[in-house]
Amino acid sequence: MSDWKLLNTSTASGASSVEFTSLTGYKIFKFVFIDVNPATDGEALQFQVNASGQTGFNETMTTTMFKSYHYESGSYSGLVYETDHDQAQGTAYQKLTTSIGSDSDECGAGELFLFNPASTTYVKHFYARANQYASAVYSGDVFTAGYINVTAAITGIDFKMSSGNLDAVIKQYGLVAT
Amino acid sequence: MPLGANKVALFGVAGAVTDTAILLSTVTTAGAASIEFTSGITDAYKQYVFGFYKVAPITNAQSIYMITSTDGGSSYGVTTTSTYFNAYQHIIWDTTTELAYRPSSDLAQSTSPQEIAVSMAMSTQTAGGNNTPGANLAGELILYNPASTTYVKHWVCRTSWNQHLAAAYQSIIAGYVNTTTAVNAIKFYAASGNITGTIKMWGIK
Repeated sequence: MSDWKLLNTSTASGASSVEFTSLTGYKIFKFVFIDVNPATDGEALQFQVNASGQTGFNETMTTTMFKSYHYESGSYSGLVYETDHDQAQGTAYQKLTTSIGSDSDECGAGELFLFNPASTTYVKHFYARANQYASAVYSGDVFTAGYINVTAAITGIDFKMSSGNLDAVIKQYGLVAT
Repeated sequence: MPLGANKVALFGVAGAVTDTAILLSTVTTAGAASIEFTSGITDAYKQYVFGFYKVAPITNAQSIYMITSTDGGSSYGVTTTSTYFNAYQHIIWDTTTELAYRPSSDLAQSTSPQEIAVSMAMSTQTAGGNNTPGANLAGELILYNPASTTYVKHWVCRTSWNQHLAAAYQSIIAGYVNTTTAVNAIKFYAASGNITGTIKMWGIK
Protein backbone atom coordinates (compact mmCIF):
# COMPACT_ATOMS: atom_id res chain seq x y z
CA MET A 1 0.00 0.00 0.00
CA SER A 2 2.97 2.32 0.21
CA ASP A 3 3.86 2.14 -3.42
CA TRP A 4 1.71 4.91 -4.81
CA LYS A 5 3.33 8.33 -4.66
CA LEU A 6 0.99 11.29 -4.50
CA LEU A 7 2.12 13.62 -7.28
CA ASN A 8 -0.58 16.26 -7.52
CA THR A 9 -3.88 17.22 -5.93
CA SER A 10 -6.28 19.51 -7.78
CA THR A 11 -9.30 20.91 -6.00
CA ALA A 12 -11.78 22.25 -8.51
CA SER A 13 -14.58 24.61 -7.58
CA GLY A 14 -16.75 25.63 -10.49
CA ALA A 15 -13.96 24.75 -12.90
CA SER A 16 -14.44 23.94 -16.56
CA SER A 17 -11.73 21.26 -16.50
CA VAL A 18 -8.85 19.78 -14.53
CA GLU A 19 -5.63 19.10 -16.39
CA PHE A 20 -2.47 17.20 -15.47
CA THR A 21 0.60 17.73 -17.63
CA SER A 22 3.26 15.59 -15.96
CA LEU A 23 2.99 12.00 -17.15
CA THR A 24 6.57 10.77 -17.02
CA GLY A 25 8.69 8.95 -14.45
CA TYR A 26 6.23 6.13 -13.71
CA LYS A 27 4.91 3.13 -15.59
CA ILE A 28 1.44 3.38 -14.02
CA PHE A 29 -0.51 6.45 -13.05
CA LYS A 30 -3.66 6.50 -10.97
CA PHE A 31 -6.12 9.38 -10.90
CA VAL A 32 -8.56 9.36 -8.00
CA PHE A 33 -11.60 11.59 -8.28
CA ILE A 34 -13.64 12.39 -5.20
CA ASP A 35 -16.82 14.38 -4.59
CA VAL A 36 -17.36 15.09 -8.29
CA ASN A 37 -20.40 17.38 -8.36
CA PRO A 38 -21.47 18.78 -11.73
CA ALA A 39 -22.97 22.23 -12.10
CA THR A 40 -25.44 20.78 -14.59
CA ASP A 41 -27.66 17.89 -13.60
CA GLY A 42 -27.07 14.54 -15.26
CA GLU A 43 -23.69 15.22 -16.80
CA ALA A 44 -20.84 12.72 -16.95
CA LEU A 45 -17.24 12.99 -15.83
CA GLN A 46 -15.02 12.31 -18.82
CA PHE A 47 -11.39 12.50 -19.91
CA GLN A 48 -9.18 12.86 -22.96
CA VAL A 49 -5.43 13.01 -23.51
CA ASN A 50 -2.94 14.85 -25.67
CA ALA A 51 -0.09 13.02 -27.38
CA SER A 52 3.35 14.40 -28.03
CA GLY A 53 3.47 16.43 -31.22
CA GLN A 54 -0.30 16.82 -31.34
CA THR A 55 -2.63 19.69 -30.48
CA GLY A 56 -5.58 19.45 -28.14
CA PHE A 57 -7.26 16.64 -26.21
CA ASN A 58 -8.53 14.51 -29.06
CA GLU A 59 -6.57 11.29 -29.39
CA THR A 60 -8.10 8.20 -30.98
CA MET A 61 -9.56 5.66 -28.53
CA THR A 62 -11.37 2.35 -28.61
CA THR A 63 -13.19 1.71 -25.35
CA THR A 64 -15.77 -0.33 -23.46
CA MET A 65 -18.11 0.55 -20.63
CA PHE A 66 -20.50 -1.46 -18.48
CA LYS A 67 -22.50 -0.56 -15.43
CA SER A 68 -24.21 -2.13 -12.48
CA TYR A 69 -27.15 -0.04 -11.26
CA HIS A 70 -29.87 0.01 -8.64
CA TYR A 71 -32.51 2.66 -8.14
CA GLU A 72 -33.27 4.06 -4.70
CA SER A 73 -36.88 3.09 -5.33
CA GLY A 74 -35.79 -0.52 -5.69
CA SER A 75 -37.76 -0.71 -8.92
CA TYR A 76 -34.88 -1.26 -11.31
CA SER A 77 -31.49 -2.92 -11.13
CA GLY A 78 -29.14 -4.74 -13.42
CA LEU A 79 -25.84 -5.14 -15.20
CA VAL A 80 -25.65 -3.58 -18.67
CA TYR A 81 -23.19 -2.76 -21.42
CA GLU A 82 -23.31 0.98 -22.17
CA THR A 83 -23.39 1.12 -25.95
CA ASP A 84 -23.96 4.87 -25.89
CA HIS A 85 -20.78 5.55 -23.97
CA ASP A 86 -18.10 3.44 -25.65
CA GLN A 87 -15.95 4.54 -28.58
CA ALA A 88 -14.68 2.77 -31.70
CA GLN A 89 -11.69 4.74 -32.90
CA GLY A 90 -13.34 7.89 -31.62
CA THR A 91 -11.65 11.12 -30.62
CA ALA A 92 -14.26 12.35 -28.17
CA TYR A 93 -13.76 12.65 -24.43
CA GLN A 94 -14.32 9.23 -22.84
CA LYS A 95 -16.97 9.11 -20.14
CA LEU A 96 -16.06 7.63 -16.77
CA THR A 97 -19.59 7.93 -15.36
CA THR A 98 -22.94 8.24 -17.05
CA SER A 99 -25.00 10.94 -15.33
CA ILE A 100 -24.11 12.43 -11.96
CA GLY A 101 -26.74 14.40 -10.08
CA SER A 102 -26.13 18.06 -9.33
CA ASP A 103 -28.04 18.40 -6.07
CA SER A 104 -25.94 19.67 -3.20
CA ASP A 105 -25.31 16.20 -1.73
CA GLU A 106 -24.95 14.28 -5.01
CA CYS A 107 -21.58 13.31 -6.47
CA GLY A 108 -19.42 10.61 -7.98
CA ALA A 109 -16.12 9.05 -6.94
CA GLY A 110 -13.66 6.58 -8.39
CA GLU A 111 -10.28 5.99 -9.97
CA LEU A 112 -8.64 5.76 -13.37
CA PHE A 113 -5.45 3.80 -14.09
CA LEU A 114 -3.32 4.79 -17.09
CA PHE A 115 -0.56 2.41 -18.12
CA ASN A 116 2.82 3.49 -19.45
CA PRO A 117 1.77 6.76 -21.10
CA ALA A 118 5.40 7.57 -21.97
CA SER A 119 5.73 4.58 -24.28
CA THR A 120 6.65 5.42 -27.86
CA THR A 121 6.13 1.81 -28.94
CA TYR A 122 2.73 0.68 -27.73
CA VAL A 123 -0.85 1.88 -27.52
CA LYS A 124 -1.81 3.12 -24.04
CA HIS A 125 -4.28 1.08 -22.01
CA PHE A 126 -6.47 2.40 -19.21
CA TYR A 127 -9.24 1.20 -16.95
CA ALA A 128 -11.49 2.89 -14.45
CA ARG A 129 -14.14 2.23 -11.87
CA ALA A 130 -16.46 4.89 -10.49
CA ASN A 131 -19.58 4.95 -8.41
CA GLN A 132 -22.14 7.66 -9.03
CA TYR A 133 -25.22 9.13 -7.44
CA ALA A 134 -27.09 9.36 -10.71
CA SER A 135 -29.43 12.20 -11.57
CA ALA A 136 -32.15 9.58 -12.06
CA VAL A 137 -31.66 8.68 -8.38
CA TYR A 138 -29.76 5.43 -8.51
CA SER A 139 -26.40 4.04 -7.52
CA GLY A 140 -24.30 3.24 -10.58
CA ASP A 141 -21.05 1.27 -10.46
CA VAL A 142 -19.39 2.14 -13.78
CA PHE A 143 -16.49 0.20 -15.34
CA THR A 144 -14.62 1.74 -18.27
CA ALA A 145 -11.55 0.49 -20.12
CA GLY A 146 -9.83 0.81 -23.43
CA TYR A 147 -6.74 1.91 -25.25
CA ILE A 148 -5.56 5.18 -26.68
CA ASN A 149 -4.53 4.15 -30.13
CA VAL A 150 -1.33 6.13 -30.49
CA THR A 151 2.32 5.17 -30.17
CA ALA A 152 3.41 8.71 -29.33
CA ALA A 153 3.88 9.50 -25.66
CA ILE A 154 0.91 10.95 -23.80
CA THR A 155 1.86 14.34 -22.39
CA GLY A 156 -1.37 15.55 -20.81
CA ILE A 157 -4.71 14.38 -19.50
CA ASP A 158 -7.83 16.49 -19.07
CA PHE A 159 -10.95 15.84 -16.99
CA LYS A 160 -14.20 17.71 -17.44
CA MET A 161 -17.95 17.21 -17.35
CA SER A 162 -19.84 16.40 -20.55
CA SER A 163 -21.37 19.85 -20.15
CA GLY A 164 -20.92 22.61 -17.62
CA ASN A 165 -18.50 23.06 -14.75
CA LEU A 166 -17.58 20.84 -11.85
CA ASP A 167 -16.54 20.73 -8.24
CA ALA A 168 -14.14 17.89 -7.45
CA VAL A 169 -10.93 16.78 -5.86
CA ILE A 170 -8.72 14.90 -8.32
CA LYS A 171 -5.46 13.33 -7.18
CA GLN A 172 -2.65 12.01 -9.37
CA TYR A 173 -0.44 9.15 -8.15
CA GLY A 174 2.51 7.35 -9.69
CA LEU A 175 3.33 3.77 -8.88
CA VAL A 176 6.87 3.44 -7.60
CA ALA A 177 9.00 2.75 -9.53
CA THR A 178 9.48 3.25 -13.19
CA MET B 1 -4.83 -4.14 -3.41
CA PRO B 2 -1.97 -4.34 -0.95
CA LEU B 3 1.17 -5.45 -2.76
CA GLY B 4 3.44 -6.28 0.16
CA ALA B 5 6.59 -8.14 -0.76
CA ASN B 6 5.24 -8.85 -4.22
CA LYS B 7 6.00 -5.30 -5.25
CA VAL B 8 9.64 -6.26 -5.68
CA ALA B 9 8.78 -8.99 -8.15
CA LEU B 10 6.24 -6.86 -9.91
CA PHE B 11 8.07 -3.59 -10.17
CA GLY B 12 11.70 -4.35 -9.52
CA VAL B 13 12.36 -1.90 -6.72
CA ALA B 14 12.83 -3.04 -3.17
CA GLY B 15 11.88 -0.97 -0.18
CA ALA B 16 10.47 1.99 -2.04
CA VAL B 17 8.28 3.75 0.48
CA THR B 18 6.30 6.84 -0.36
CA ASP B 19 4.11 7.03 2.74
CA THR B 20 1.03 7.73 0.65
CA ALA B 21 -0.88 4.89 2.31
CA ILE B 22 -0.85 5.05 6.09
CA LEU B 23 -1.73 1.87 7.93
CA LEU B 24 -4.10 3.03 10.64
CA SER B 25 -5.34 -0.18 12.18
CA THR B 26 -5.08 -3.96 11.94
CA VAL B 27 -7.66 -6.21 13.54
CA THR B 28 -7.02 -9.93 13.69
CA THR B 29 -9.33 -12.39 15.35
CA ALA B 30 -9.65 -16.17 15.55
CA GLY B 31 -13.30 -15.78 16.44
CA ALA B 32 -15.18 -12.61 17.35
CA ALA B 33 -18.70 -11.31 16.91
CA SER B 34 -17.36 -8.64 14.56
CA ILE B 35 -14.34 -6.78 13.26
CA GLU B 36 -15.00 -3.15 13.95
CA PHE B 37 -13.24 0.16 13.29
CA THR B 38 -14.60 2.86 15.57
CA SER B 39 -11.71 5.28 15.53
CA GLY B 40 -9.41 6.69 12.91
CA ILE B 41 -12.06 7.38 10.28
CA THR B 42 -11.82 11.16 10.22
CA ASP B 43 -11.29 14.06 7.84
CA ALA B 44 -7.56 13.29 7.83
CA TYR B 45 -7.89 11.29 4.60
CA LYS B 46 -10.17 11.42 1.60
CA GLN B 47 -9.86 7.69 0.93
CA TYR B 48 -9.89 4.78 3.33
CA VAL B 49 -8.98 1.28 2.15
CA PHE B 50 -10.00 -1.84 4.06
CA GLY B 51 -8.01 -4.93 3.09
CA PHE B 52 -9.49 -8.37 3.81
CA TYR B 53 -7.17 -11.29 4.57
CA LYS B 54 -8.27 -14.87 5.31
CA VAL B 55 -11.68 -13.64 6.47
CA ALA B 56 -14.26 -16.38 7.05
CA PRO B 57 -17.31 -17.18 9.13
CA ILE B 58 -16.87 -19.60 12.01
CA THR B 59 -20.21 -21.15 11.10
CA ASN B 60 -20.56 -22.72 7.67
CA ALA B 61 -22.67 -21.19 4.87
CA GLN B 62 -22.96 -17.70 6.31
CA SER B 63 -22.90 -14.33 4.60
CA ILE B 64 -20.30 -11.70 5.50
CA TYR B 65 -21.75 -8.24 6.11
CA MET B 66 -20.53 -4.65 6.14
CA ILE B 67 -22.40 -1.86 7.90
CA THR B 68 -21.59 1.78 8.71
CA SER B 69 -22.17 4.19 11.56
CA THR B 70 -22.29 7.95 12.04
CA ASP B 71 -21.96 7.88 15.82
CA GLY B 72 -18.66 6.11 16.31
CA GLY B 73 -20.22 2.68 16.43
CA SER B 74 -22.80 3.32 19.13
CA SER B 75 -25.34 2.30 16.54
CA TYR B 76 -25.07 0.89 13.04
CA GLY B 77 -27.27 1.14 9.98
CA VAL B 78 -27.13 4.26 7.80
CA THR B 79 -29.36 4.54 4.74
CA THR B 80 -27.54 3.01 1.79
CA THR B 81 -28.26 2.28 -1.88
CA SER B 82 -26.00 -0.28 -3.50
CA THR B 83 -25.36 -2.69 -6.37
CA TYR B 84 -24.04 -6.25 -6.34
CA PHE B 85 -23.00 -8.57 -9.14
CA ASN B 86 -20.86 -11.64 -9.11
CA ALA B 87 -19.16 -14.31 -11.14
CA TYR B 88 -18.86 -17.85 -9.91
CA GLN B 89 -17.80 -21.35 -10.75
CA HIS B 90 -19.09 -24.37 -8.87
CA ILE B 91 -16.40 -26.98 -9.30
CA ILE B 92 -18.20 -30.02 -7.89
CA TRP B 93 -21.84 -29.53 -6.96
CA ASP B 94 -23.50 -28.53 -10.24
CA THR B 95 -20.41 -27.40 -12.22
CA THR B 96 -22.14 -24.21 -13.29
CA THR B 97 -20.64 -20.83 -14.05
CA GLU B 98 -22.34 -17.46 -14.19
CA LEU B 99 -21.87 -13.71 -14.39
CA ALA B 100 -24.99 -11.98 -13.10
CA TYR B 101 -26.48 -9.15 -11.13
CA ARG B 102 -27.71 -10.39 -7.76
CA PRO B 103 -30.84 -8.44 -6.76
CA SER B 104 -31.20 -10.18 -3.42
CA SER B 105 -27.87 -8.72 -2.24
CA ASP B 106 -28.28 -5.05 -3.12
CA LEU B 107 -29.81 -2.30 -0.99
CA ALA B 108 -32.37 0.39 -1.87
CA GLN B 109 -32.42 3.14 0.74
CA SER B 110 -31.96 0.52 3.40
CA THR B 111 -30.35 0.58 6.82
CA SER B 112 -29.71 -3.15 6.63
CA PRO B 113 -26.17 -4.51 6.40
CA GLN B 114 -24.52 -4.95 3.00
CA GLU B 115 -23.47 -8.46 1.97
CA ILE B 116 -19.91 -8.71 0.69
CA ALA B 117 -20.08 -12.52 0.41
CA VAL B 118 -23.07 -14.85 0.38
CA SER B 119 -23.35 -18.29 1.96
CA MET B 120 -19.63 -18.50 2.45
CA ALA B 121 -17.66 -21.56 3.54
CA MET B 122 -16.15 -21.68 6.98
CA SER B 123 -12.38 -22.02 7.02
CA THR B 124 -12.42 -25.29 8.92
CA GLN B 125 -14.27 -27.40 6.38
CA THR B 126 -12.84 -30.89 6.24
CA ALA B 127 -11.57 -32.38 3.01
CA GLY B 128 -13.92 -34.20 0.68
CA GLY B 129 -17.31 -33.76 -0.88
CA ASN B 130 -18.23 -30.15 -1.61
CA ASN B 131 -15.82 -28.84 0.99
CA THR B 132 -12.86 -26.47 0.67
CA PRO B 133 -10.40 -26.76 3.57
CA GLY B 134 -8.81 -23.38 4.22
CA ALA B 135 -11.68 -21.46 2.67
CA ASN B 136 -11.53 -17.70 3.15
CA LEU B 137 -12.25 -14.30 1.62
CA ALA B 138 -9.79 -11.74 0.23
CA GLY B 139 -10.42 -8.34 -1.22
CA GLU B 140 -10.74 -4.68 -0.48
CA LEU B 141 -13.24 -1.93 0.11
CA ILE B 142 -12.55 1.74 -0.64
CA LEU B 143 -14.57 4.38 1.20
CA TYR B 144 -14.39 7.88 -0.27
CA ASN B 145 -14.34 10.98 1.91
CA PRO B 146 -16.37 9.57 4.80
CA ALA B 147 -15.96 12.79 6.81
CA SER B 148 -17.80 14.90 4.24
CA THR B 149 -20.70 16.88 5.63
CA THR B 150 -21.73 17.93 2.12
CA TYR B 151 -21.93 14.80 0.00
CA VAL B 152 -23.11 11.21 0.16
CA LYS B 153 -20.30 8.72 0.76
CA HIS B 154 -19.40 6.42 -2.10
CA TRP B 155 -17.72 3.08 -1.58
CA VAL B 156 -16.58 0.30 -3.92
CA CYS B 157 -15.66 -3.25 -3.00
CA ARG B 158 -14.39 -6.39 -4.70
CA THR B 159 -13.99 -9.75 -3.01
CA SER B 160 -12.88 -13.24 -3.98
CA TRP B 161 -14.14 -16.01 -1.70
CA ASN B 162 -15.13 -19.63 -1.30
CA GLN B 163 -18.80 -20.45 -1.35
CA HIS B 164 -19.76 -23.29 0.99
CA LEU B 165 -20.34 -25.78 -1.85
CA ALA B 166 -16.85 -25.84 -3.37
CA ALA B 167 -17.11 -22.79 -5.54
CA ALA B 168 -15.02 -19.78 -6.48
CA TYR B 169 -16.94 -16.51 -6.29
CA GLN B 170 -15.98 -12.94 -6.98
CA SER B 171 -18.35 -10.20 -5.90
CA ILE B 172 -18.34 -6.66 -7.30
CA ILE B 173 -20.21 -4.36 -4.95
CA ALA B 174 -20.61 -0.60 -4.68
CA GLY B 175 -22.94 2.04 -3.41
CA TYR B 176 -23.34 5.20 -1.40
CA VAL B 177 -24.17 5.87 2.20
CA ASN B 178 -26.95 8.37 1.67
CA THR B 179 -26.18 10.87 4.37
CA THR B 180 -24.43 14.21 4.70
CA THR B 181 -23.41 13.31 8.23
CA ALA B 182 -19.85 12.06 8.58
CA VAL B 183 -19.42 8.29 8.58
CA ASN B 184 -16.95 7.45 11.35
CA ALA B 185 -17.20 3.73 12.02
CA ILE B 186 -17.59 0.50 10.07
CA LYS B 187 -18.21 -3.07 11.09
CA PHE B 188 -17.77 -6.45 9.39
CA TYR B 189 -19.48 -9.57 10.72
CA ALA B 190 -21.07 -12.90 9.82
CA ALA B 191 -24.80 -13.39 9.44
CA SER B 192 -24.70 -15.94 12.24
CA GLY B 193 -21.88 -16.93 14.53
CA ASN B 194 -18.46 -15.35 14.79
CA ILE B 195 -16.00 -14.14 12.19
CA THR B 196 -12.32 -14.93 11.82
CA GLY B 197 -9.49 -13.27 9.91
CA THR B 198 -7.64 -10.00 9.52
CA ILE B 199 -8.87 -6.66 8.23
CA LYS B 200 -6.50 -3.72 7.81
CA MET B 201 -7.50 -0.10 7.45
CA TRP B 202 -5.37 2.44 5.57
CA GLY B 203 -5.78 6.15 5.10
CA ILE B 204 -4.66 7.36 1.68
CA LYS B 205 -3.13 10.80 1.33
